[in-house]
Amino acid sequence: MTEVFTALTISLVFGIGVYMLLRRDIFKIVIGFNLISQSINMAIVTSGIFTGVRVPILEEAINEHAAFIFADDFANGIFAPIVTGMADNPLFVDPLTRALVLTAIVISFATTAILLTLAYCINEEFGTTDVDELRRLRG
Amino acid sequence: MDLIYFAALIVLLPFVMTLAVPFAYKLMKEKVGWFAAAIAAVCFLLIASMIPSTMGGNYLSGSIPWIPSLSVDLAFYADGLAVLLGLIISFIGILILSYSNKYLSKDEDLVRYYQYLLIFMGSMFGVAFSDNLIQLFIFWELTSISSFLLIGYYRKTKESVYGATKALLITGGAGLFMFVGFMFLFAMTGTYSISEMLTNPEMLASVKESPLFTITLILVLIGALAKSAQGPFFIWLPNAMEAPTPVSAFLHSATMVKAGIFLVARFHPMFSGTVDWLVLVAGIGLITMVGAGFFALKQTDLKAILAFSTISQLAYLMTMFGFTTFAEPGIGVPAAVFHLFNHAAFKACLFLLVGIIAHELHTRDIRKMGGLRKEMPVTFILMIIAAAAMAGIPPLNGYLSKELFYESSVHMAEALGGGVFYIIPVLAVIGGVLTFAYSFRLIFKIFTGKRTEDPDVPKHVHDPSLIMLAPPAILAVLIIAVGLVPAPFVDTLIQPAIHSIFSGAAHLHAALWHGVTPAFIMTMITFALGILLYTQYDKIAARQVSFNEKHPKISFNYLYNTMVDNAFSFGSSFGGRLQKGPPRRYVGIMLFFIILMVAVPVGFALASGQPLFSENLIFKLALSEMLLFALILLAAWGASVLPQYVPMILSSSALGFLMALLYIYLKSPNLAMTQLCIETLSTVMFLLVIMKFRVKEAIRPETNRVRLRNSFIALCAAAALFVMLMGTDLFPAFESFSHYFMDKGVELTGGKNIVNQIVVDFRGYDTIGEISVLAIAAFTVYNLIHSRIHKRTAADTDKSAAVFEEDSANRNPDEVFSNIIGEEKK
Repeated sequence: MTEVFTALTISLVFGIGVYMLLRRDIFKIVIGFNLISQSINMAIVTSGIFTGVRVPILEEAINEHAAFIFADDFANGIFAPIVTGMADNPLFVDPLTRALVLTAIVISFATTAILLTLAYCINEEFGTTDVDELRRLRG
Repeated sequence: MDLIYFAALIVLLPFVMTLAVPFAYKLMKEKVGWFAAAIAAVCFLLIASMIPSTMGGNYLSGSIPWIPSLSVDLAFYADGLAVLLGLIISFIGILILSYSNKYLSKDEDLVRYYQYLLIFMGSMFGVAFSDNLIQLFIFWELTSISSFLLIGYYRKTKESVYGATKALLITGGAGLFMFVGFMFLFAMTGTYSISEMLTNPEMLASVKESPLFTITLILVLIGALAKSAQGPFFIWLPNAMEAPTPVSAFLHSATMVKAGIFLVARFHPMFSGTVDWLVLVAGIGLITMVGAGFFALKQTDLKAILAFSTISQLAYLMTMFGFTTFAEPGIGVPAAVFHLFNHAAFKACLFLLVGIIAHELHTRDIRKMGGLRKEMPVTFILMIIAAAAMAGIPPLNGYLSKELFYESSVHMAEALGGGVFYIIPVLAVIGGVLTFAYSFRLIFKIFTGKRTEDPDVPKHVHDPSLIMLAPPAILAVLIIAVGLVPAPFVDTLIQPAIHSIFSGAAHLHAALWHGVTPAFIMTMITFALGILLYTQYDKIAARQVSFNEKHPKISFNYLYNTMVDNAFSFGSSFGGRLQKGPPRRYVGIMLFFIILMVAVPVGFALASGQPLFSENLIFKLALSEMLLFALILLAAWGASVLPQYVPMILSSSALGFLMALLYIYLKSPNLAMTQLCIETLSTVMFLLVIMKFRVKEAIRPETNRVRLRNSFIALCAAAALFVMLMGTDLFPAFESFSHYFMDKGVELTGGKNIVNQIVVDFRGYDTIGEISVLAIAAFTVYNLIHSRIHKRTAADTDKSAAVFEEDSANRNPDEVFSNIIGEEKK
């Protein structure tokens, strides 16, 4: 990835997530987990070797103007990833990373749900979500 | 019908029918045992239909490829030995499963009980009919596992858990040694097929000449000995008696413990006739026989007496299989097979009778029993028959095979050249004497003498119903029938089995009267010494008990317990040392290595002057993009610093929605859609959980030092990720294979949205996996919350809990909400 600011944003969100992960409140740990998965999803989507500009939806007959959904300056050469070595469809972004992240989003939702429920149960059981306090209770 | 399907049907039927047990239970309630018995009966008939072919000395085999690349097949093999074992399993199975109908009360977990028993029966058929070492091993361990489940059937009692664990550790663990032995066999012969190994003379010769011969024999024997509770492995069997008595009768006397013997018989052609075989098999057998018989004397629990007698009787079998001389084949193998059959009959019968006694008297302590003759006349008669058969009294079946045992021991001694080897028949007689003594103890102590007055024993007892009496009665009839007219049984069942083990073995001549042979004289000596020993019974038992009390450390049980305890304490201290902190400690360790993973290459790159980043870095930033990134960072920052839960959550979900916007910029409408839905859902979820939070006291904020440390770690992690991301361009990229989806997508799936195609069609299985993850997560969440509710209702009687219930019921959610915020503010 050569886009400095993109990489910077991803890393900062990741760093904030890690900071939250190290905190004492279980609830904040869950939030930290959430932030980390967001930043990683972002990294996967933006990473790679692509310079295309089109949404990977095929048209019956490829009409240049109709297919350009986001033909703005912003997309020009920055994100718009496209598959290299593709003679036929040189302008599409890589659909594979999208498919991967799609799955990742849903899975991280499931994980968050379980973490939250655990936090809830711990809170019900011990009346606190402080990790250090729980450790003290355990003895 | 092709044999492979026929044998596979026998093996698989019990397994498949396991699934039907719950439905049968709905229909038949506590009579569900008849359903299981019917399955056993079907298997019995199927196996019995093979007898004609095995009588002709043929065997049937067939296989279907299973893992061809490893030459592992699903192979079945039905020779005389397998059919004999299969018939014993299924016949005793019918009796046990019918008997269980009355033995277990209807409040017990019957479904689980019969399911376990059926699984066991299927696995046992698998052991008998397998023609492939790997397959044999799998079924072998399955019998260990089902035995574990059955011993631990009474989950609540500590003893049964201990017994179950012990049995699994010893038999299952030893099975692994056997597995290594099988691997050696494969290395020597190049095949997993048992029948091929045993019938190919070249392979047999190559095994006998191999330098690995002894170690292979030892490894395979460890598995067999542990299963049959021989040698030092005997300790699990007495503890296994915690299982319900029908289970003990089925698994731990008649069938499962025979698996070890079966294995020895199965590999007899391969290993026998060598010094190693004689010393290991016959030697361990003789020692176990005398030792276990001796220990049986001090037992006070009825089932423990039977357990030790089982060990001792199985040792007879081991010894006889070991008696295969170089010079002449001897009669060891025929005698062993015959005794295997006889022992199954009388020992199962004894266990069933003990089950009746324990069921009626509510105790198994033999010291509390006596004088039951008049109250339980039928049980008394049956007990006389079964115990006398075990003691070897004519004209019962035990007498015939014991004669043969004595005869084979004399043969062996003579074949070895006499002299000191006459110790073998002497040991055999000692074993017989001990058997005689404890067998008669079972009759006289329980049924004759004075009726004991014990608070545990009911005042009036009686014979049980016909359902419980019939199975032992059938076995008793069998015992007498085999004793009086052995020929039909020998011809149809025993002789084919002998033939399949050892075709050179002498023909079995079982008869009540052979004339005055050495064996006959030995029997007479046994009876005389047995009566003498019986008069000294209590004195010897007391001597043993006092010895054990004085030297508690001299026992295999002590060794086992110390080993297991040490393993547990080592495991817990190791785990305690490794996993002792709050989660951040683990996170810290993981992050440390991640940072190291980046820092080390970076250090090298700096030292050698290589570039860290790609040369054509892009610093260009569109205004719209800048705005988006700034908002994302702001939201993330907000999520981390806002002190109260609700603003924190809102900030975190703002990040999620901004992410959806970013995905739109990145030409991924699918992602944006998904992200929007998921983010909405998780915001709702977060808020729901927060609503239910009861914060007793606010969590103390971290000290500045801790914050500084955490920030430093986080910064390092962020820097590591940044370097990693920026460095990716330095390496040549893999060519994406997405063009395949683009080229073929429309043609193959008919869809035009390529992301959709991938998710739904090309990687459909991944999506199924994803859906299952969601489903599992949903179940987990439901169960976690459900168990909480359960607990709370259970604690309702508790005063404080009741107050809380009332408290939370009266407050509406919004109040709770604002309360929490208020508390936080304080």
